[in-house]
Amino acid sequence: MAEHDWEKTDAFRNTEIPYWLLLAVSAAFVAAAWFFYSNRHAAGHGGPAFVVKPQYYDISPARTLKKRLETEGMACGDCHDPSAGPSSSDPRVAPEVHSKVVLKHGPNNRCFNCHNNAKRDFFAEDGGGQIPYLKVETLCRKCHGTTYRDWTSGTHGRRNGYWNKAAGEQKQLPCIACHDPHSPAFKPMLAAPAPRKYTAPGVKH
Amino acid sequence: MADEKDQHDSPYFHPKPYGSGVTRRQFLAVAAAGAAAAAAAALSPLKDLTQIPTLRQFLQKHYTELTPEEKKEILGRISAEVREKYGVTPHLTAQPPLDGVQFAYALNMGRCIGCRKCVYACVNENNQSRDPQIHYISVLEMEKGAVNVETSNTDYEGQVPKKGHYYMPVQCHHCEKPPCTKVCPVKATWREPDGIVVVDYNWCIGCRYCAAACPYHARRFNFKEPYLPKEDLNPEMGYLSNRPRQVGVMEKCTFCLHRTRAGKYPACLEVCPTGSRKFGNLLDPDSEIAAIIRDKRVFILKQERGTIPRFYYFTDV
Repeated sequence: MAEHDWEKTDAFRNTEIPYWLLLAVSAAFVAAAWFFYSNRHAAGHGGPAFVVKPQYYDISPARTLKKRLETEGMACGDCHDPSAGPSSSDPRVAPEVHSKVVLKHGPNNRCFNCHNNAKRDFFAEDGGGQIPYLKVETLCRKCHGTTYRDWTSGTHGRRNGYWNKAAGEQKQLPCIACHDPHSPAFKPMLAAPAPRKYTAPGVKH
Repeated sequence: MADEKDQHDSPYFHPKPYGSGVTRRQFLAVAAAGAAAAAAAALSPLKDLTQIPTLRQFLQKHYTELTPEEKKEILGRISAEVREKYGVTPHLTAQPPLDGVQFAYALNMGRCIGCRKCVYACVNENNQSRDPQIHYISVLEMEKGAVNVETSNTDYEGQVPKKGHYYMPVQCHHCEKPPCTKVCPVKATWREPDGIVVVDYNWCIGCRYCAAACPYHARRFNFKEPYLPKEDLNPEMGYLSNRPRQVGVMEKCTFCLHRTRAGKYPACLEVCPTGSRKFGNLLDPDSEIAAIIRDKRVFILKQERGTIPRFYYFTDV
């Protein structure tokens, strides 16, 4: 009886291993090695490679600067004749022509706080003085003194070009390069894409 | 007496001792052939090994011990390699540290809106791998009320800033006592006299100790061969900064060394739409960085680590 059991467990020993099985197993090993080798770059890649679009690193400021005080492509003086004298209408209400202007500058809600009432191509300095468009910071500092101080020391706003002024030109952006004077709070913007974390196999370069 | 039945009952009886199919010899022959084929297939990646260094590369000295002539020769060799791979002749420099300059960076946490333009300006400037992505700057989105880096989020999308959140970009802090350079077993990373912590990609052995030592998660490792499209290559290069890297080396922010040692601002600063990023020479009292240290409320990330960063966070007011 015991001998008989032993014989059963030894059944495999008497089994013949056919040629085709040996060849198939060898071929399977080679195929597996080739599979892992040829896919060595595919793992971890997903979809086409990330493209860094130019708008993600565009250094132009939030607003487009103009060369003069203008609206709809026309200088203010084209319509407002300086000889006509100051306007006497309600300084809180913009006329129909300027309906695009939405004033959200806090308590500063009078047009002629900033615009020169008599000479419309200029901003308003204290006592009826004139501030040219390109010196807009002298207008803003009338109220925003501490911000102006920071801007002159370089801690507010952006400087471009050279930190070492001996090596090259340093450009400082004016207030209105980033802030809309009629609605000065910095506007929300679309964030550039988040870093990719998950990728699926597939694409090679 | 030893009839057929007895033979069959014997445990030592084999009706066909070596079978009609395979003999032991045949089995071994086929198995050996199969094993040899499998081994050849497994070793075949070695065929593609292109990074066997030349003797000159192999015998290159440590960067800080190179003479100007040796540096020039190495720059020429790397330029040729870049030209071969990308089809562009780079302007490769190895600018020395500037005398009387201590670089420092400051970031206005009250103004940053988390738009990530700095991240991609950096990628565009510094020839990082596009796939897999390597970013030197991580912008952390955090809930207002605390500086809790642990619960910060880097995956936000869409319009920013999000309500009730503020943003803290983190990059290499260029510490005065950098833990990363201390642990490097081969001195492939060190702090230059002008305060910039650099990596020599030709000297790095890829052990990643520095990445483990850095408390700011500032170091990035090339786990795969970096992929950079030819048309995206920035030909303005520095040996210690943005020359193309190879697989298996560490890289990180270098304050755009090739720009800043030429007097320019770093790329991340130039792109910031809110002007939150400030850079300059700490020793120059008229610089914006000196004004920030003097006048603003300055905060150092993980001050208790004693790393003494050259990267400051500040707020107005």
